[in-house]
Amino acid sequence: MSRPRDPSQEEPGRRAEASPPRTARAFLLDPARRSAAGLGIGAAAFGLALLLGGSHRLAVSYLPAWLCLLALPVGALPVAIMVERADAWRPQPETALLETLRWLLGLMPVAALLGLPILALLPVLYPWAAGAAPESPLSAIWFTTPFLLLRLALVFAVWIGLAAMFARRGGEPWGKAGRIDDGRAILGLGLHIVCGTLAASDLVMAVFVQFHSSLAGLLLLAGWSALALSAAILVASPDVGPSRRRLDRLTPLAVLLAIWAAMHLVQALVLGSPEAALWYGARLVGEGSVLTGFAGAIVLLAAAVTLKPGEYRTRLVAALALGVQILAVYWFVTPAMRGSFKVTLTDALALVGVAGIAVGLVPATRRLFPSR
Amino acid sequence: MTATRFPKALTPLPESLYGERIVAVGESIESVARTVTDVVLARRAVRRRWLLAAGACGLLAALLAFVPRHPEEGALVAVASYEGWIGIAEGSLLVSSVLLLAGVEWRCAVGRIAETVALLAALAAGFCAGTPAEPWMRGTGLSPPFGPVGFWQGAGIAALVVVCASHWLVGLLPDLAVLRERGASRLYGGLAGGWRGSALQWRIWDEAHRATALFGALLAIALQVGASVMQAASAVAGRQDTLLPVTYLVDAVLSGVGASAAVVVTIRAVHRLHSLITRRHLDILARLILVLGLASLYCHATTILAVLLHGDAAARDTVARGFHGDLAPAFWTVVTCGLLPPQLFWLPRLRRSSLAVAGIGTLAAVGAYADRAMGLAVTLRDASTLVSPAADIAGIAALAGSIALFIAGLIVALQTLPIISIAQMRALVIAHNPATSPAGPALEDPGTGAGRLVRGQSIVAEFASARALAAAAGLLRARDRSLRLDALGPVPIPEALEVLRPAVVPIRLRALAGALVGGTGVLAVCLAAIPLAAGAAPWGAWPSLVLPSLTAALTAGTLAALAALLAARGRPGQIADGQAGLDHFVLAAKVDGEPGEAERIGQRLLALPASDGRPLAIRMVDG
Repeated sequence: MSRPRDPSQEEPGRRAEASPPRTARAFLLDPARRSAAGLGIGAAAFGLALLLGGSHRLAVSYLPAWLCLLALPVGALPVAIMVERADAWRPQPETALLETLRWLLGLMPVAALLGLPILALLPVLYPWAAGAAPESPLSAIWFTTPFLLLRLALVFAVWIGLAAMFARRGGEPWGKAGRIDDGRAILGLGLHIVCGTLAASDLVMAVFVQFHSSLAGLLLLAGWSALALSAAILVASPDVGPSRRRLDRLTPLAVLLAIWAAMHLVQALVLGSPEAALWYGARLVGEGSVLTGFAGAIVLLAAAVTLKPGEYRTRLVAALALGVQILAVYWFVTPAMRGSFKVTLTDALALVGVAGIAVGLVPATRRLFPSR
Repeated sequence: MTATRFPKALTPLPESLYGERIVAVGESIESVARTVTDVVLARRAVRRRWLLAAGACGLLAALLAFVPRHPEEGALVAVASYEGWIGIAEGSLLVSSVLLLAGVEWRCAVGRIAETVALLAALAAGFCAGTPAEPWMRGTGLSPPFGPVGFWQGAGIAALVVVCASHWLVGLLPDLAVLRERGASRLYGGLAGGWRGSALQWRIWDEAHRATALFGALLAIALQVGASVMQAASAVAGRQDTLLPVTYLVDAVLSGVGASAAVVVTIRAVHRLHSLITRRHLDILARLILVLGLASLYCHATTILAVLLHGDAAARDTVARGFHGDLAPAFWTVVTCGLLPPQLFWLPRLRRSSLAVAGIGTLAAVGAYADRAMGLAVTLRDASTLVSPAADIAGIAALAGSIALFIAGLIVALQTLPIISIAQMRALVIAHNPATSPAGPALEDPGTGAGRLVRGQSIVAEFASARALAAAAGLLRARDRSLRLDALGPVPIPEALEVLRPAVVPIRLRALAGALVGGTGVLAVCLAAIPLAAGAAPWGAWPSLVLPSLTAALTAGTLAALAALLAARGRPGQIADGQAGLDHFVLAAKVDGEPGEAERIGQRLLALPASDGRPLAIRMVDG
């Protein structure tokens, strides 16, 4: 396998090769054709999913697939803020990891655009939109389509603004103003956590009307950050020079995975209602129990590998963690509609479809995120 | 590995960063030791005044300890005081440990104070823990593995005290040797043992300090989350708040940082330590309180919103009681002390104000205390065993006694021990003020320096920096690999270790082995003692078995690291203790070869370039 390229190395509109590509892979990876190829593959995957599973199954599969895409920029945001804040003290060149995280932030408008179909699928996905009785006077107002639209518009406006702010390279505050601006980091993290909690409640937890956990927002945000960081570690090229000596990519990932697992454990230990038992019952049988055990093993593996880290070990742990976190998104969402956790062909096709369309839309939205 | 743990002078930082330096310009290795030890070695009359005040506080605490406690459970003030002190202890320990593990350099001036606050708060919690047991345990159906609840409560506090004290003692060890050298009482010499500041001793100390910090941080999280999970799980089904463990953890850290900030400001003002604890430290502590205040605000707002959206009528009634009901005093104390005041630190002027940092830090600790009291009041009201706070005389006496004990302990610690880490501050001074450290004689000309050599069996050379020492050691080792060398210094010398490469078993392996033995031992005892009933809820076994085992593992690991350090403290070196390198970088070479070998080594060292390894002075000693 060839080494992944640093996305920061790519200039917009750059043509990689003068001569025409000779293989299908080279044809698809050609930056000039990538957009069209992505759109084509995405449309084909959605068409096939519609044909094989029908519109209802596709709708159920679309939500977790879109959430996986959303997790990349949303999860990258706090990690990029923290890395940038830690880097602010060090005048060494920026690391490839930070550049990759900033590149992932550029996916925020794409994720927002691809979230529009969710609004059309509200009655299929969320019981409150299908007429379920509200649980409290406030929820009768809170879970209404206009109020939901208002919240989501606000959340995505803030997220896009934050992504545009932190995707900017060379924006280190002390470099410009001669001092470190903690306010930017504190405000960025604070707004992100508030937005993430609202989005997690509205888009993820609302699929199962009787299950409530006030910890779910932080839990999902930790999982999404682990997903984004894993992806960034896999894509980023190795650092060279002074950055290489001081950079430890695995420890932040191991810490994030440990926090994510600890929050899962705390939630499971605290909740004792019949509704919670039902919620966990749908997720801890069959494939769900296998995923739970596998995820626990990966968390322990990541902690153990920090004792003797290395580039290839780090990439291996990141690949496994990425797989676990993608499946964890499905673990959270799909049992509410299917009764238990299982991954179907429609799920895989929807994931390919969302990824393809996202690749197709990236060049158009990149203009919002100048590299400097 | 060690190179990343201590501040480096290699990175030039913008002068105007934050507008304040982390250590004053004129500070040197010598001045840091003098400033800190002067507090301990102050005039007897001054010390007597302070120790009299400590004695008065201690006497008050002793008298209040005899106030009879309530025999029944549910004495709100005592339980809340216990929880509040535990929160301060765990929060301070967690913050100081995490900052140490992360290698944050500004911690050097305030880390020891936070560790002292953690230890004294754990002792104060023990003062309050006499009668009241964990009241929520009745509702969870979670029982201790065996024996009474009070035994396990005591074991938890004992573990916290042991870990806090071990971490504190490990950090103190090199500073006690400095006090010994400055003529303090023999007690300091006895505690410091054979500490000479050798490169190997520094390496073992560094590893032990980090190991105890790691175990301390994990213990703080485990105890805090374990207790709050039990409290959250004890609520009526459907009303459990899964965010409660996070809320209590954030509150604990906020109260720990707040209390530590108040103590830091007080010590800075009383002993005029402005050159070591600068306004930059106040600014950073204020920023920490602001961030933690925001996190606490998020937790409380999310909990209230979740109840209003999804809670049943009884849960919504509990929220309403907080706004205007019997819980209102506690709730509005949380808001006005713990949630709103930290937001004032958005204003830069207040972040640099000693008064504001001390005041808001204290208020934050009071807010966290009120939050514990409110949570307990809800739990106890549900259990119908609430004792009115006004009638809880024993609880009020326990709170007052614990505060008196805390103040007495703080005064005694301040008057008898270095309250700022000399070793860590010296490392900081070397990084930030390289021109002022170390203070030593001027460089000598190689030709004239040779005339000072006196015949002997060992050669001792003093250097201006650890880098020069390492260069000289490398030269000598390259010429003669059998030469026995020892490097000593006032701070860790990882550069010399890379040259000397001494064979040593890493402390972390011993600590891990200790943790494994302690954890599995307690787990085995628990498993043997509990009759695990068939069909018992599997989740119920987690806190019953795993939390005590984990606590035992972390405590045993900490003690193993401390024991390894104490054993290494007395390891004999190449030169006598009298020539220890507690103020300078010293290289000692033991010469066993032919006559004149020592002179040749001396000439070789003096021939080194001034910029790369030439010693400041050389002498020869017998032995």
